[in-house]
Amino acid sequence: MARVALKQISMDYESTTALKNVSFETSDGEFLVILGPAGAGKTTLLKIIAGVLRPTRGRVFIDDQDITDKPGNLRNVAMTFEDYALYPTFTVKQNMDNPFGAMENPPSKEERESKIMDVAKMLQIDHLLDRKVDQLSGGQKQRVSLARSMVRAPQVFLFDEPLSHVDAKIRHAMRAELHRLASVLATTTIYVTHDYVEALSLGDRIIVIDQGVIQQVGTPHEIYHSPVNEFVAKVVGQPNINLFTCVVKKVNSQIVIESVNSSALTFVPHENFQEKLKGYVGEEIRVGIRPQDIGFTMKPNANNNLATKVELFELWGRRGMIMALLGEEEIRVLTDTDEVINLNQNVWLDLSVAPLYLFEKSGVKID
Amino acid sequence: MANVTLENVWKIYNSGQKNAVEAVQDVNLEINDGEFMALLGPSGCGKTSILRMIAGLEKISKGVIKIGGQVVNNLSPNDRNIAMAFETYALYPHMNVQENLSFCLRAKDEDPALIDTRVKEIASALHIENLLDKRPSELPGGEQQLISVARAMIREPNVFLLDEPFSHSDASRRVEIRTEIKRLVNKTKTTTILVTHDQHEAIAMADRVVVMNFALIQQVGTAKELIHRPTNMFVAGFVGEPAINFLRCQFVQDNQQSKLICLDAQGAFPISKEVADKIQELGIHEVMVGIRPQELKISTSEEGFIKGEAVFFEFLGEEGNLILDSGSAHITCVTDPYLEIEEGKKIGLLADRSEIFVFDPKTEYAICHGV
Repeated sequence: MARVALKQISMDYESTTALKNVSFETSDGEFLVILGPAGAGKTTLLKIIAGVLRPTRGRVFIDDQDITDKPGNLRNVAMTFEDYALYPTFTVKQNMDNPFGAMENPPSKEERESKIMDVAKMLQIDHLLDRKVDQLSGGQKQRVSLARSMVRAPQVFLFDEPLSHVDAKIRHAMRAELHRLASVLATTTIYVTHDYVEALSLGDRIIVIDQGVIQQVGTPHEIYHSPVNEFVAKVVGQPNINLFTCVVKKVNSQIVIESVNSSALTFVPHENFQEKLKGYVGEEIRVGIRPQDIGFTMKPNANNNLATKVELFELWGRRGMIMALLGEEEIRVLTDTDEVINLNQNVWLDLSVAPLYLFEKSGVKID
Repeated sequence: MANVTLENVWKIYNSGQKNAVEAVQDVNLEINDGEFMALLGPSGCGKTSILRMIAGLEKISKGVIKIGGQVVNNLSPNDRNIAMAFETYALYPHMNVQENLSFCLRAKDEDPALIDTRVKEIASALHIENLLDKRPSELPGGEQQLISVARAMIREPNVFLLDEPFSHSDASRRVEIRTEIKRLVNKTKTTTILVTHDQHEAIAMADRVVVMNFALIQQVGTAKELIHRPTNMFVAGFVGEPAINFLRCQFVQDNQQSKLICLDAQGAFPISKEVADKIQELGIHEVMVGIRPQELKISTSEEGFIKGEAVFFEFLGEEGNLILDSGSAHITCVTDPYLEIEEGKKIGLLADRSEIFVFDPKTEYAICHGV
């Protein structure tokens, strides 16, 4: 159990800066996910907490104790790697015993054995203890890697993309397993991924990071429903959020937003946006709408007055993804039926109930 | 434009030797003119061997492949009028995009004005006009993939082959790349064959999908057929996400109401007389029931076909996944994303009976779709 805090961490490499002034604090027992694309600085961040890398500037704390100068093996944190980093010719048991060797005062042989057995049972790999690692499947290796990090009962778990090499089918089951484990162990966990589904599923909170800079810290619902900028809005959700470049206009003392690519695409923003948008009249802004928030029908009706033509249709499991053209503007719609829709057919869209995500031209949320 | 026919096609590596591998076994397949067909399966299932035999990169061990009615077994790849876009792009690094695209037309000594028009057409169709003077190395993976596709399609081939084209592009860009390619294919109406291990991709893009495993075709069908009418447990399990719930059940016959009673989970499914007769005919007492997570509905009471306890709920943006423990079984149920449910709550699950599948656990074949 521990609280991890990073204060103004920066990491410079010879020619690039991997992290810029990163600060955050976990609560005790929290499952914190760091989400970002390749090269965002996620793994660097983990390595700094693990003590594998020393930050150029800034301090690292566990439970208010400054551990920046403490070597990695003396920090009670356990890191699992994307490629598992197991010893292939060792048995599962030998791999699990290995972390004890790095401790200052390792426990007795009996204690070690009983801890290994406890953890192995919890992860259902007790039948594999005498197997060599190179004889195991990917999912089993994943579990051994996890088990190895658990034997020392660390204060903090650090996970580096643990599911990225796991087959899509198993990934779902592994997520469920991590959930169960997290609720049993209640150990502070920092989990790095580029997969937004994992982040939404596992995180108590999510930190979205891009190019070494924290973009947003929030619960899964906050990240999904109140992104602070266009980058965050695009990182979560499939199909990607629709983003339209629009002009703010004032018509009969009412604020109206009109797409620059298609004059048919206009929005009358909700009352609480009316006031906020007054300062933007005549300016370009960006309007985001999530594809599943758009209603559609095959015939026009009172609400669905926006006639569009189907440019593309894809079946998404039990749902459908329509790409519709309205003038020059492409609109993605996620349907909730698996009815197949023909190309070039007309569909009528209802955007009246869709929540609008409004951003300034620079990409920053209008608040 | 052409149809592609495979008749009793085999691929045997190291034929006649001890370490012979039958990578493709007796495949029969008709791909219609202008059709978008996906070959879907796990690695090693034989899908890439089929593609390579159609392309002429791999010898056909046994059987016949026809393109546009013409047997192509002994034709070189050049003479088949097919084009292939590879997983690794295979672009010329020292040429810019314009030169990459026009390369094969220039090699054929086509009229420069015509080449120019064709490059412009294909670049505009794939929305890559602004990349024409860039080198491949200056572009991200997704854009390189589009250029690889453009270079293949500029030749106006009879058949267009795509080998795992999206595995290198990042997830959010992948959907956009996919739609660009699909749009181009829709427009040109070129017969297209896509090889992929990603069921979502196959279902999203193709008119029909060939599901393969262990060198054999498991099922050929539209996406909807694979989802609602899987012929066996492999197809039921491989297609669809999250994976289908399989439940071992005991067949209990009764004149009033025959049932399938769950062995690991808590619950039972009433079945029609017709289904009971089918199971009885097979002389088996244990069956495997399959229900897709999207078909399970939370009942308003604790009663239902399946009874369980909520273990955890995942908010995934567009949908929610609820995981339940029922007896010793874990069950996944797709819900709306805003479900509010506390852990440990007792829940009953219902499903439309027409979407409950029954399989023979020995042969793994479907006994019926709907109970």
